[in-house]
Amino acid sequence: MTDKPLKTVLGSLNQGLKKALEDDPQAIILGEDILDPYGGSFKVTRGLSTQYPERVLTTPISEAGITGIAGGLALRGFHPIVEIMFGDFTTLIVDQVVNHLAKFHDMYQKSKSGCRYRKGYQGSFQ
Amino acid sequence: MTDKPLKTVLGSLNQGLKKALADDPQTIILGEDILDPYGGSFKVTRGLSTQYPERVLTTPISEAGITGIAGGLALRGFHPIVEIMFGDFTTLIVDQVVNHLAKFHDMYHGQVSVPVVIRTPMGGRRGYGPTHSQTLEKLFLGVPGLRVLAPFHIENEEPLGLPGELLYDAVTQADGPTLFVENKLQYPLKLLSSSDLSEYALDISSSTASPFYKLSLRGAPPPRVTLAAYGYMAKLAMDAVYTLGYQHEIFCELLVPTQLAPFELAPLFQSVRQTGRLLTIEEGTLSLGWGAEVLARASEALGPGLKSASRLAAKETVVPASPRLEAEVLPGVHDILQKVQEMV
Repeated sequence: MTDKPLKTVLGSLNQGLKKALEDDPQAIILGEDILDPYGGSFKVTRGLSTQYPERVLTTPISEAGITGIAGGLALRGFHPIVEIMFGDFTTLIVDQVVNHLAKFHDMYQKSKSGCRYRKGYQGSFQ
Repeated sequence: MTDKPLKTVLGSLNQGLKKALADDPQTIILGEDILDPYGGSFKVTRGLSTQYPERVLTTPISEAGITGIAGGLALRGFHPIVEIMFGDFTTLIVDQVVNHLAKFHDMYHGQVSVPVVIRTPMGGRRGYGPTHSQTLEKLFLGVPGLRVLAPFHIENEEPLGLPGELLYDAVTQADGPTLFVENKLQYPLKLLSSSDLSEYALDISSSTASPFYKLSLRGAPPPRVTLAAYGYMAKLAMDAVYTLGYQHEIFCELLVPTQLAPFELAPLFQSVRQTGRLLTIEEGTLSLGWGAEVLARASEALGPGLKSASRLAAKETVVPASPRLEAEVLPGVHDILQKVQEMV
């Protein structure tokens, strides 16, 4: 990741996250196995937990749980980023996304802002 | 339920389940609060736990858990039926359905089948607000290996009536998972008999896996617009067909599938070949909905033969609790009339 990081999609995403953590103190990353030295299944978060250990957090294997926590954090002013390790596991977050995160803005008459997502590694989702 | 049980969609579904339990000893029903005397939130299972206490089981509030257990039961030879209390909660079973039940048959090279029927009521217009009024079946359309059915409130030759018959067949003949989409406002609807349909010409297609109905006004000139709708929206569309014919002299043909997925649309294409115009009507939100796929397929099948196409669906926001706002968000008869008039 240190050598010409912006030359690949992976490097670009990694730098995007890094810049978000740097510029936005409310940015916080949650995901399974995303800490260094492993740096995530596909290494998109590599290096980030070393630099921002208090805002890059590894979680238990509970996609719905992570997503729900991210929603709560967002309601309280954070800008959470969730890593779902494989797009296949997004089936587990449908309730949190469809019935909670996506709905709250309209349901509570636009009083709170939404939550930001990074939804796994299916190209169309990224 | 004891008084003329077959006269409504609710009664027909209840009798369909009862007949499945009676005829098929492998049938087992799982769901939240489905036991007597309560008999389920919408009473579809009323009376069943009294008669078959060992095969009608109440469960903890864990939709994913119930669905997973049903999958396991099916792998071991049972024919489980799961009731998800509100269609809104099907978001909780997406992983079990998409990544497990629907996939096992192909994933294990046809060595296993997972004949689970998941029943659930979708739909609004009862003031239940954003969390108990949604129409979410579009999330399940186009999942390989998953069949999606929606009953039409009509009698048929069979003694159960179409809704109960469709459900009975899904349970006793299924070789894979089925999502059976009911609608809350369908339950009290009277099953239409031939005398109720005296104003309509009714045709049933036999070319599809499940019945596909075609309705138009009896004795009307050739139809100019094809309407496509299912479930409760098919009821509203029937009302619109009547009003459009008698008040606006716009004659339409209504096509009502009972199998939503896999998509089998030959009877619909046949109608559109004649009318050249197609309006799809659904209660779910517009983008990437049922109508979007129907229109895409119609456009592929008919090419320039499809002269005019439109979709009517719910507005892309939450379903409000206030009846006035809810009526603005969900498509009604008035919206159908307006759309059709724009198309001709």
